[in-house]
Amino acid sequence: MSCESIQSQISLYLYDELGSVETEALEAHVESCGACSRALAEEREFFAAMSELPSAEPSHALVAECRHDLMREVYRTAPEPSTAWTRFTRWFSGETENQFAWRPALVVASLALAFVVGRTTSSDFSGLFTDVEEPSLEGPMTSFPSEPLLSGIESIALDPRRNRVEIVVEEVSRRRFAGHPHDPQIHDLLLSTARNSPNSSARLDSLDILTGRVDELDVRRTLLHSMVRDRNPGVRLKALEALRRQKDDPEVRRALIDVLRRDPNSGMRVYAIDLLTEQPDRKLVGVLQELVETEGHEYVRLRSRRVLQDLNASVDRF
Amino acid sequence: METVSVANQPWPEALSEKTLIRAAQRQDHDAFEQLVRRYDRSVLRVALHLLRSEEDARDAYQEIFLRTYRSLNSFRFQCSFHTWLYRVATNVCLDFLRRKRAHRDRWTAAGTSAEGLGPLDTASDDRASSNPDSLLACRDTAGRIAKALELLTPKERMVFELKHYEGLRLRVIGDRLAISEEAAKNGLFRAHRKLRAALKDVPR
Repeated sequence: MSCESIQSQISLYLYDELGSVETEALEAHVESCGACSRALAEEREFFAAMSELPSAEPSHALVAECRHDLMREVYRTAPEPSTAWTRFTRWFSGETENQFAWRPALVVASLALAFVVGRTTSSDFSGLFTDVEEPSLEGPMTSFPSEPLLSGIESIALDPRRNRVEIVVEEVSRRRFAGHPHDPQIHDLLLSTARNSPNSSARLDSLDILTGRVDELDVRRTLLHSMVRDRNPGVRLKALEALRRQKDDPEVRRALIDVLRRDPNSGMRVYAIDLLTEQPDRKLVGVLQELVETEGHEYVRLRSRRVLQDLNASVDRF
Repeated sequence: METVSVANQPWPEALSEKTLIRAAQRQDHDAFEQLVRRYDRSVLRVALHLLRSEEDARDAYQEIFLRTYRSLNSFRFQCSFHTWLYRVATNVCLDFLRRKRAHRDRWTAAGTSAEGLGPLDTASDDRASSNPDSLLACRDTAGRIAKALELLTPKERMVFELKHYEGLRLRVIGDRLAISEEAAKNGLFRAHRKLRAALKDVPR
């Protein structure tokens, strides 16, 4: 094999990309050829020089921050997971392919929903508004005419002598209300939706509208409720973001500590510890010591340890 | 039918990757996070190596995993998840390199100097930190290598970085970049030749 051919293969040799035959031939040639031996030595030096670049190993903090940002984005943009409620609404709007299979279960579900929705709307709001023929989106709140939404069959009785069937149907109606977000009734509906709606998209939309009024006590209480108790992490995150500016309020701090200790979602806990520890606070020492021992998320654990050190507090519990 | 209910339940580390992927395909965010945690450190390391900028690597990280998340339902287990994810990562980093190069070319074409302090000029180097002379020499070498790497086309750069710094086989690199092994080998040769020419007097 010629020197030119050997030297063209040296880099592949060092990268371990030559087959066994070529490797043996190259090694044998280099042993007996001064020029190719020098070329190999130079190539080794070049390889070593290329390793002079600083290490690109990501720090724990960088990885944790990237994860945190990613999961926030995932929760923010994710479509609503398929739940019994979404399947139910799809069934009624004719989206599902297998309507027949769902029908018996949904009749039962519709009864339960009829009861819940009927109670919520009739007891809280039905007396407040009057139906109007020409709906307007300006001015005071408008209640649009109702339309049947769904019905549940409560009982069926057959009278064989008269050949008649008696069916007791429970109906629920759908109503639309429109008005300014500050309208008291709209405001109450938004608060009620944020706390009670079975549809997490509706809860999220309500919080979206309410977040600008976090200074109002009832809005703040609802946000606190959502942040700590909502079952959907996207809704909890929305509430947490809305309360960010109130992080020094004692009630908000207590709720944040609750999130930090109990929220099953690590993104929420990361967010909570970042907010709570922006200003060192000795009242957090006990919680942070607990987290150093029990927290499963690396960033939260490391952050707890660092804040304890900044506060000159013991990392361990006694 | 396999059923996995995971709402608000932490995932055991030992759960099979297939189970996690299937759950993540059903919009289980906790399962997706577990998948992310298995691979994100090495993905971020690759991005840092390739892009040589923490800011770009952060952006690439987001784009890689969000792209993975959004197309997870198209994953059909025809290759390993690891291979699939790294293919996405490679493509995203390649796009970043192309955008950076296009940006630099625009600056150069406009007559503006693209010279300036890059991330490597300010990067710390623990290996040399105990010796100021060594530190200076190393920074100079590292800076020159970084500049030399910018001479490569994005694809040559990808091939070289994946080979030299990640130690991947040319066959795997070809697979990731959707090119043949031979094309990857040619790219490595060209990158190597350009770097040798640019760095012929680098102190060793």
